[in-house]
Amino acid sequence: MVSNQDKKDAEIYKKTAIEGMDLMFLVRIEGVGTRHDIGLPYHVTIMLFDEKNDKPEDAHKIATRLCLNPPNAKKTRIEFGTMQGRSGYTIYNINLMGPEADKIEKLYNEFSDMGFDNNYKFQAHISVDKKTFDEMQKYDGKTAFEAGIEFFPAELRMGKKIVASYKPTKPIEWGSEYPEEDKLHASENLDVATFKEALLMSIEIHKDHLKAVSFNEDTFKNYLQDNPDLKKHLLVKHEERANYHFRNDLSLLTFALENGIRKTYELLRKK
Amino acid sequence: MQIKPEDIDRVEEAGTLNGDIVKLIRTTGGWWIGIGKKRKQGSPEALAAGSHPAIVKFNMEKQFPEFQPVMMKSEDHLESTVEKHSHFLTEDLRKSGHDIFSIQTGNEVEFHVTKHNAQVALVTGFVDGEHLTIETLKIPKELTKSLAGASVEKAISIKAGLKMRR
Repeated sequence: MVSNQDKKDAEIYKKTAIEGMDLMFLVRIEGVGTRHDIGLPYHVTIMLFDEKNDKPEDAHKIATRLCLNPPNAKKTRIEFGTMQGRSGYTIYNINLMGPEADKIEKLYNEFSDMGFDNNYKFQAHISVDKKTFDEMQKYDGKTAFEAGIEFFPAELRMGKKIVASYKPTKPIEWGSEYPEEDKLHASENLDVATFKEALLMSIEIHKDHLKAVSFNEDTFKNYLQDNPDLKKHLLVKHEERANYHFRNDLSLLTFALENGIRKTYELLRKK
Repeated sequence: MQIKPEDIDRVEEAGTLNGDIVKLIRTTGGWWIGIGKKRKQGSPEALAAGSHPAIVKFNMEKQFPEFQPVMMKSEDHLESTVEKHSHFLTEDLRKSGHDIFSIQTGNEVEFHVTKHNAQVALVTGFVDGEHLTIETLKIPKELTKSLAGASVEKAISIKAGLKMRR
């Protein structure tokens, strides 16, 4: 049962989360990407940074060299527990156990010089609202897959703002595992039309590359391969645009990141 | 790679990298090698190599953003402009180490097709008024399409039309 205290605690948690800087894997529970009570995305925190002392560019620098593939839901067991937030409020958690959770702890340890000073023993978890916490208890000891939990690629967020994505978000087939080599590969999956769209939208910066818009698909792919900085800029531009258009809907954002903004609107029109 | 003094035809200054001089060595075999220090405390080593000094400089500029090419002092000596057109090559050719560069020096334009930096084909042309005129097309068949793309791209970049000499 959800008490008034639970609601108050959730609001404090929300305020803390909105102000914080967090490297996280996004999560869906039974197809839902956000908490029912406070509207924040479900996630597994890899590292909660001290936004006053830690710079996002430093966090990003470390994150880019890490293997940030999302956990495999079939290899992750879940347990339930509560913890105290930094100002004493109660957080309801689905704790992740097993080798995939150990991997997340190793990622956390990579940021040992950052974050808050505390005696916190890292435990990978998904914070959920009390109602979901109660309803999910039946899956205690089962795998995340059995509980309908899906994990998605990592993002560095400052409050609601996505500062960096470590892989374009790509929905995985139900229960399947992200292949290790897929970490960088997904960005290659963006079609040429989407890259060209991003190029046209930032042509003021890339005047010299305007000619590439007229290239056929193979030539354009080669051109991006030969101009990796351009490719990076276009990916960032594409992600910025996708976030601008679909930031309030994780599933649309996911689709837009993978398939382009135009196709996402086409899909919406068809619906 | 070891270069003996007797292998060196001549040495030119190519520019500076992190404040240290980078030299261009032409071997007696016609090979150009850019020699410099990658790190301030390091020893001089080969930074890039190729069959044309302008391509070597171009590759050093791409590989080492801090590289500052030296400007030619002599008024008689024209600077070359290098453009890479390798995106027009087929996947097979790219995988096998081929590249296409255009080198424009004054009104003369050369298209160099290289394989692992060694020249495998050369097409020459010149800029005459409003046109880039291609003089020769004695090239392997598999390169025709790629060179057509390269020559069109070059013509567009200098805002000229494209002609073939009959």
